[in-house]
Amino acid sequence: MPLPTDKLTNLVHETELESQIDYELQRARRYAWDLSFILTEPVIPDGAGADMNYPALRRLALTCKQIMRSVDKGIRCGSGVLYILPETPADGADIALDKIRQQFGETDVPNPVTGDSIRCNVRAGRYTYMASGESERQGAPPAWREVLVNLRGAME
Amino acid sequence: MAREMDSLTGLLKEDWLKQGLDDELNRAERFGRDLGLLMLEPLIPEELVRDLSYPVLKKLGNVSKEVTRIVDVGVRIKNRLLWLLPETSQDGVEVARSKISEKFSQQEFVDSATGESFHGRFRSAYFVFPSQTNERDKILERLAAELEETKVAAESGTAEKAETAES
Repeated sequence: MPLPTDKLTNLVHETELESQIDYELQRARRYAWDLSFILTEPVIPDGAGADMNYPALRRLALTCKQIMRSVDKGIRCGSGVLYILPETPADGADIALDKIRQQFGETDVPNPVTGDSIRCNVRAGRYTYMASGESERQGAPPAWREVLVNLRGAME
Repeated sequence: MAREMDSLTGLLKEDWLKQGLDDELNRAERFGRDLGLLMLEPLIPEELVRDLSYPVLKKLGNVSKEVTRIVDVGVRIKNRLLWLLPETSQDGVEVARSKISEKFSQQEFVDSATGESFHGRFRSAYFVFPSQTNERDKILERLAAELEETKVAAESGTAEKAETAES
C-alpha cells in the first residue's frame, strides 16, 4: 500500500513520521546532501474559536502543497505540517518557508459552519542537517526526535 | 495505520509501487541522479515449486535485505522481488546482484518429503534510470518481460543471455 494518508490534510499520516525522517537522514548522510525540514502550524487569531483549528490546518497543508516541490514530502505532525526537503540547503528551505508565510497569510480560511472567513498567521521552524559538510560525514545522523526538538525550538 | 509490509518477505507490498516508484523516479529526474532497479525471481526445480516457493522467496527476501543498503527499498511483487537502489548506476546494480547471488547460493533448500535439495539461484533483470522512459508501468513491464525472456531462453537451453542473467 502507498504511504497512509492523513484524512484532514491529505498529507502522509503521522504514523510514518519516524520512519520517513530516519530514512531521509540516512540517505542524506550516505550521499552527503543537505537535508532540510520545515515545521509549520497555523496561528488562529484571538476570538476565532477552537473550531477553526482543523480548517486552518487543512488550508495550511494545501498552501504548503502548492508551494513545495513534488520531491518534498509532507507529513501531518500533530497540529502542524512537517515537510522534508531532500537535497536542500538552509537558504533554499528558508525561501520556501517565506513563501508559505506570505501565501498563507493572504489566504482566507472559511468557517465550515458560519461561512465567515478568517486569516491566520504561521508559526514555523526550520532545521537543516548539513550532511554535505565535512564534519557531518563522520558518525551517525541525528535521531528523528532530535530533529523534532530542533524544529520546535526554532518555531517563531 | 503504519505502512503494511509483506508478511512473507518482510519487504514492502506491491501497492507501495504506485506512489513510491513514481516518487523515486521523479526525484532521480529532478536531481539528475541514477536510480537502479533490480528484479529477482527465485529459480526452483519444477517438481518442488508447489512446496518450496514460499520458503525460497522468503529466504531471498532475507538475504537481499542483508546485502542491500539501508537506503535501498525492497518490494514483493507476487513471486518476485524488486529492489529500488537510489544513486546506483549499472555497475552498482551489478555489484548488488552478484552479492545477493553469492549469499543466496550458500542457502540450501531441502524438500522434506523427497529429501531432494538445491541451492539458492535466481534469475534477474535490471533497469537503470535515466533511460528512455520514466513511466512506472512501462519500466515494470520491461523488467518482467526481460525475466520472461531469460526463462524462455533457459528452457530452450540455447541463449547465452539466460546463462549470464541467471545466478
